[in-house]
Amino acid sequence: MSDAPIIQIKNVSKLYGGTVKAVDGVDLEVKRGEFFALLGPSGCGKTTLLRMLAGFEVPTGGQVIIDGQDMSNVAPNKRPVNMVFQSYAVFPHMSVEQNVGYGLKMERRPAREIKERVAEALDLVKLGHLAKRMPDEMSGGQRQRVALARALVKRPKVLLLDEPLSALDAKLREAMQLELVRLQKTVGITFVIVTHDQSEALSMANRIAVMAQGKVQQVAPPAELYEMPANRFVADFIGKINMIEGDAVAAGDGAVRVTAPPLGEVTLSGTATGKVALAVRPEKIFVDEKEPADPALIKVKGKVGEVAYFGSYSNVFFDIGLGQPLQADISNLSRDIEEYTFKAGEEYWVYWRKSDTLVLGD
Amino acid sequence: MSIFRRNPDPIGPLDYARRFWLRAIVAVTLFFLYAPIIGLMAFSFNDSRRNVVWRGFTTDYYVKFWNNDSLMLAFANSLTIALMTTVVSTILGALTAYVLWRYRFPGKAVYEGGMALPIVIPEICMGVAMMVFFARIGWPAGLPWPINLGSITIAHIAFAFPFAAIVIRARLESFNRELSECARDLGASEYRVFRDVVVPHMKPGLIAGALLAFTLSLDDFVITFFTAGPDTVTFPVKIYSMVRFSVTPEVNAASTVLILVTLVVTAVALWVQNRNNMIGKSAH
Repeated sequence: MSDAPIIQIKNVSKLYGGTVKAVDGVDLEVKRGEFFALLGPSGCGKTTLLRMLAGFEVPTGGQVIIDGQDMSNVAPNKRPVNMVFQSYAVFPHMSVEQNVGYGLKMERRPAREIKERVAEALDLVKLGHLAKRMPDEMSGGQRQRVALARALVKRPKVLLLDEPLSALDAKLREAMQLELVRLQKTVGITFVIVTHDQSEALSMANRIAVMAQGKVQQVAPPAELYEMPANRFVADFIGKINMIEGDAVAAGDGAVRVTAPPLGEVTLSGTATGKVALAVRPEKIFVDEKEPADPALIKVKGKVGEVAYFGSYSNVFFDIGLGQPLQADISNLSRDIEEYTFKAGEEYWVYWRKSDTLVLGD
Repeated sequence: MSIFRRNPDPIGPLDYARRFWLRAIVAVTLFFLYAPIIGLMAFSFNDSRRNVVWRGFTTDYYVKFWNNDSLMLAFANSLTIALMTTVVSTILGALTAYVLWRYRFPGKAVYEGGMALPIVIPEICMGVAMMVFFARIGWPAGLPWPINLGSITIAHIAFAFPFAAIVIRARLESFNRELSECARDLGASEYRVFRDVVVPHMKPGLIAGALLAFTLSLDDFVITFFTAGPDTVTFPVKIYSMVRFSVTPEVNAASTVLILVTLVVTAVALWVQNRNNMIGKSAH
């Protein structure tokens, strides 16, 4: 029972106006107790998918199963899920207490139980002292906590969060990220969060589904998503990455031989053939004045272009004779400013490990 | 410290209130707007039958007004009609606004345009139409009070409720639909969502709509003139018939009372609305 996924999305599609595919044949499973993120650019269908879980949108095709129960004919107010809305949707004419107690009132719980559970939920989000406040007397962060308490007090099987942090300022957003993770561990409820902010998804979620154009591109834990993106879209969408175009032919044994003009011919492990991109993350690139000798490296001569200094690292752009520059994040590992200063026009050997290189097909 | 300054500040680009021209325009506007009304009220206390020159203060004409049975009946008629119109127009207006805001249905644009017709149709046409209509369907006359006010009330509701609907509709535009989705998500039925979330948001609109309906009905002359019978004279119609003989201070007194009733209702409504706005401010 507890091994069965809490949410099963089976070949779900959503068409608007008969032609526009907002969600296109999505298959997903969310495990019990997971912190799951739906990540993608705006218009990728992630919010539509979340709203189908809540019951505000009806799938055009496919099936949504929550805790083993088909949700096709279940109205939003009868589903074992609760949602935290992007605008928080705190009822402006009700006090904090009334807001949080509203869902229990709808369940016709006895007044004493409502009182106890509301107090408990408010303590959980550290708002116990503001129970009598009206929403317009609270900050955005506090209102969001009200929205969280109001959803959690119902003890849903799944908590849905629609871009919950997008309206907060940067500092508060970071604090709330940690807070949400703590909360999820405390209550043990499955969280499904929708976000367009990759750092938010990477830092909070156990698993992430990256979506684009209504389709799921990849589902993986954060590190796997970052280090082993399934395709160009995911590689490009998550973090920064350099892509060098080339042609690949199979070289046997799970290896391909890639010809990419500035790099010459390299043999790498991979399966994609034909037009491919050699992809490498900026922080995996090293620079040196001398040519490195190690055959396990890919190396190229580059001329320093733009340099952006970020304190802990510098983002350096090298011209390697391609249309777009190769960017490298060089950690400032010592206090020797001289050593870590790059001047435009200087030439360096730029290199990285073959094993850090991805071969991405189209 | 500005008292000690020799030269006053030059007039800044946004110091509109300090420009002579603007002050003059405001003063003239206010004068033509309020002088007749204040004059009317002042002369209601004039101790003179002819009402042309001021001859001293008296409240005689208010006593006369109070003792004038036909005028008091007209006043009671007007208030009764206005109250019934207000209640029905606000409910109808709210439901109309909600349907137009909440649902999509074929012919919605036509319906929306049609609803606004009573606002754009000249009142005189509406009055004649109502008169002909009630005559045609043979609306019974000579019913006991207040049932005899039915035809006027129906006519008033017909032209007042679209105003209420438009005001309430405008208020609904600012409603955050996530609020109703959220209530639904928390387990509320469609009806509970309407009652617990939508209506509280509509409240300022309901009050404004009700106020509009009340004053429209209380002040209406043209439509009422055509639908009123000999036993169902309203206050404005009665004042009109009195003016046809002569403008006595009694007419002034009656008009002053009408103005005061309107002002009090407006003030109360604005006060309530203001209080509600303070609460509804953070709806988004």
